[in-house]
Amino acid sequence: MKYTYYPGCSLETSSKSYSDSALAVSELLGVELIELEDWNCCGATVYLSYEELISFTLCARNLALAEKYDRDIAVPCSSCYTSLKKTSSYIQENAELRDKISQALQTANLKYKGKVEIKHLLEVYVNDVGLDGIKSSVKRELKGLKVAPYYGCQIVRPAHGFDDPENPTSLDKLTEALGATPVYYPNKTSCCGSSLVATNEELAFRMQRDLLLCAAQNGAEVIITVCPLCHMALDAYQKKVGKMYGFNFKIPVLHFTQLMGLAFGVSSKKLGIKTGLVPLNKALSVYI
Amino acid sequence: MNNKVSILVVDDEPIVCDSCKKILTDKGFTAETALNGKEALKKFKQGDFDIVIVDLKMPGIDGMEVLQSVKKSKPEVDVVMITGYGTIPTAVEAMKLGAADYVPKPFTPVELSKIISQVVEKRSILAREKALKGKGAILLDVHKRPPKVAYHPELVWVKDIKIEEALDENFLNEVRSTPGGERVIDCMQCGTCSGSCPLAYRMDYTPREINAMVRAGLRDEVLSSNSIWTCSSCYLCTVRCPREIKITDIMYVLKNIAMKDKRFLKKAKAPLLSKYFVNIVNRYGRNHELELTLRFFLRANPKAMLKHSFMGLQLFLRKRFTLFPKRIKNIKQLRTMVKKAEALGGF
Repeated sequence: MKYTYYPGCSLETSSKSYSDSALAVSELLGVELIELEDWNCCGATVYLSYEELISFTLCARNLALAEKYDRDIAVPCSSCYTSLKKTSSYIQENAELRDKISQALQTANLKYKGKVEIKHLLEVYVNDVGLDGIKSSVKRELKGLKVAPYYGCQIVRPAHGFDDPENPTSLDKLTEALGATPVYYPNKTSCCGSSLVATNEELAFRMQRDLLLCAAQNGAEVIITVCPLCHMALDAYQKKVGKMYGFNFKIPVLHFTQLMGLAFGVSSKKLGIKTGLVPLNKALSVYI
Repeated sequence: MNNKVSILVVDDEPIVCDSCKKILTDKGFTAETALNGKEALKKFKQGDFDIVIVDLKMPGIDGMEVLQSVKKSKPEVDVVMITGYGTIPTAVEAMKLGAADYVPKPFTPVELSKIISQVVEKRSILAREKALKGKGAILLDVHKRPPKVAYHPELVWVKDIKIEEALDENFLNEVRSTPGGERVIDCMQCGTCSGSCPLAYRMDYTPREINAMVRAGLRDEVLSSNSIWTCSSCYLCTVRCPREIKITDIMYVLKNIAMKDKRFLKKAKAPLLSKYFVNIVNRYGRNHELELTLRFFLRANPKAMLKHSFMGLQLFLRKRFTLFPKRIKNIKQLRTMVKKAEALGGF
């Protein structure tokens, strides 16, 4: 299985361990991730707030570059995933937008016909590889490890169709396939507030508090994320959130590919397990 | 304005009729009088009155009957009851039957003028609302919350009905012409979006109110509100909307419009972050997290930079920050496209 890999800016630096672990895990699953040459930023929520047309054009460049190959795009970042998906669907739905984007692409000798399929990495693993394929790659079952499967918002919303927008189960199933136990986590698609963390910290911290509190109260030993921004929000800011609200949170946060890697027997160094700011706990250390 | 308002005064005491007529004509109203119910209804039928002032207690056809006849034939006419001692309960009954107000006897010229002025003002507001509704707008009571105060149940919001400069019809069209904004007109004000929004409690106006305000053309209120910058883009409102309105996308459209007018950006920090982000992406083709963080916090919140410096150091030691940006190879191509898109002028 070959995919065009669109890592996105965060995976180059602040969440490099996500990319490293995704590449390692994919290889073991027979998924070849071929990085899109000269990809550019998707614009995320920030460019979109500034000027939608330019933001969609940035995404369209990536789609046009990807269309040269007969492969689906695999995206690990939920924000990039939504940006690309949204651009793709608006290009199809809105003739005026399609026309303007085509004009912008033409100036760069590019063309986009609208044929690229965009998939989140989780979607690739759960739907294309399948849970059986994942199970058969497990070398060391994560027996008894209590995992809070956190989806966040943009992987399932606005309705991308690959899982339920409010009660998704794919990550829960994947967790089970690794031998671990997904805990009851009703906040699994609540927003982490990462788009507000720089501009309105107090609001963002409150959202993060709710997520951490819910995970802690349901006995989670680790939270897994499917988006580098959610990971940053829950890992890097965890101590500060706890301090603000009087909780001593100590829940390690892993990219879901890191957890898969642990179950697949990949070395923790290769997976970048220790790049998180929250120290690992006993439950996780067993597998390191 | 008053000279256009025509009033019929009905009382069986000629002195009351005459003094009322004098007070009203002095205020610029056109006034006529009738000394009993029968005469009043006859004059009412022949004339074109906006307001009827009628004494409750009269021989023959009394004030209540006049009220009912007037309301039955012309519901838009306002009736003000003159009440004597001991007729207050009847006056309350009259209000239930549609009387606009009542004035207890004896009354001074100032008291009468005040009550009539209030009725006239209410009539003119209703007339303007009717005219605006005729143009397809939804009007709403805008509840202005005290600035810089978080949601607090004990606080009473000041009700500020804004009508006069309300309608900017172009605003609705502006929003409707953008991808995602097309269906704002379908909003039925059910409030599912506001009930779902994790941040509505901190917004000046909830998403439901924003939808209605866009339709009503309350451009300045919407664009200067913190609502659009508080939206965290989680799309819960969008997937729950029974009319399939893309509310999150509408928020983006509103941010885009506000971005073009500096008047609306005074308080919000998010536009500054967007500006720096756009600048970085246009230069390198990709984001450079360190530069973005430094530039933004230096300008917007230098104290926060100190506060987060330890976290920054920890991330740096784990190689989660790079000092230098990564530039895409074909940055020229990207810039050409950005320029073209800019020239196409948005939507």
